[in-house]
Amino acid sequence: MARSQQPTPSDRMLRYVVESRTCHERLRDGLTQLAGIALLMMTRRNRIDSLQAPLDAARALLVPPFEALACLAVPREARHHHQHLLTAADALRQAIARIETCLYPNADERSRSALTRSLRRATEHLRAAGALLPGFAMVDMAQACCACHAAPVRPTCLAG
Amino acid sequence: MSQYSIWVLDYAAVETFPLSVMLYGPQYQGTRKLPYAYVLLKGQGRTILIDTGYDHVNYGRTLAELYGVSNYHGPAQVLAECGVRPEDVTTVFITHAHFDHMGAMHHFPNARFYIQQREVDKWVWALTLGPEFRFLVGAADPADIVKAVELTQQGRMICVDGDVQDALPGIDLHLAADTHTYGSMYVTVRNDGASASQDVFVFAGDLLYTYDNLTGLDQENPQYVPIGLAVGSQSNLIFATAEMLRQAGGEPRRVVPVHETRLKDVFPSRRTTAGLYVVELALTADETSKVF
Repeated sequence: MARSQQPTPSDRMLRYVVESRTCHERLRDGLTQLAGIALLMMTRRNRIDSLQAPLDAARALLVPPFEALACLAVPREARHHHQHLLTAADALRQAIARIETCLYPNADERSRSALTRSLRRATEHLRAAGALLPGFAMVDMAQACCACHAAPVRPTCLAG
Repeated sequence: MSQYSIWVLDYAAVETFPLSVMLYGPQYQGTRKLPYAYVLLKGQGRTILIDTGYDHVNYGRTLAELYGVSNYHGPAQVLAECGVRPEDVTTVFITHAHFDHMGAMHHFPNARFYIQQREVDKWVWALTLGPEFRFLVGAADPADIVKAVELTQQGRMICVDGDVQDALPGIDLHLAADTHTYGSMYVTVRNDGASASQDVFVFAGDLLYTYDNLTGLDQENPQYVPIGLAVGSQSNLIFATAEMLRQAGGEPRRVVPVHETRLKDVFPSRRTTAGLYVVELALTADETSKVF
């Protein structure tokens, strides 16, 4: 490879941002699903059989970002950011396991508290990652009522 | 005699919001100011909020820079205009699960929160559909749901199924299913306490953005015109609008859209030093005005 074609530090950082942002979005979506399942579990304690399917869907959603995070090329400047994503992923793995436990009829308050702590930990680390780099929002504002006045974006399907 | 003192409190605003989102249809007809606000009720030994607003710490910069939301002030400063502290709030009715309506729950450490079970159920269902369906879950903040989990565990989050009469004395909750969101809720206050009340206020959440949703733009030929953003259907929004107006005795000013900038002209109001409005809808006998 010619010297001029070698990736620069900024190229590596840019690639990291692009690839890790997808991971962050999927982790965020997975967290939203798991928190929603936990909320249903706690508000409908006598009707939790139906939660296995949503839990399976959340688990399936999270497999790709779990794997992608482990394979990311992480430039030195992004290590702190990446560590937050890894910790969030770890907390989400724990949350999945704890929801499984809590689905049993004899699950106790301690199990539910442990689940809540895992969800809180994932939230904090995803939020911390979002604060370190632009473009890692916790809310997709593009879908918000208050965002309807944002400048229109040319649909990718029409891009020439 | 009013059972509750009632104020609508601005906490931020978008200066130029497209009319076509506030009111379905009028494309390319300009913009209006869209205040962000919540409702404070005091009476019967309780301090009640309808929605909480959002948390500037988490979203403020993005909203300000990308979407023109300005002049945000937190609950402590906004509520102080009425002599209330966030820790005084005993009850919060969440009209729907968008971040700008439930994103500040953590500011109210002593409150119990009410939300429609359908809003939670259908939201979780929609979340399982995949990212290409994300329009259906709108502006969901996972941190809000995690907070709701914690509140539920503490016994402070109550999910209600459908309509509830006298959730608190004189206050009824109503489900408007599949409208702005899956389980949007509006709140009816019968402020004389009577079951056939002559003093009703209906708080519409985001089922309405403006009084024009109740009448249309042609005052000579009024019609219901839905807001421009529905996860459910425009039909459902129209029928919910009709029902809210019926409950308010057919008096449009009593169906309160908190995003309506003309509220300050319809009811007594005061502009605060922060440039936000306090709008006073009712006062109990032992309450002093906060606008005069």
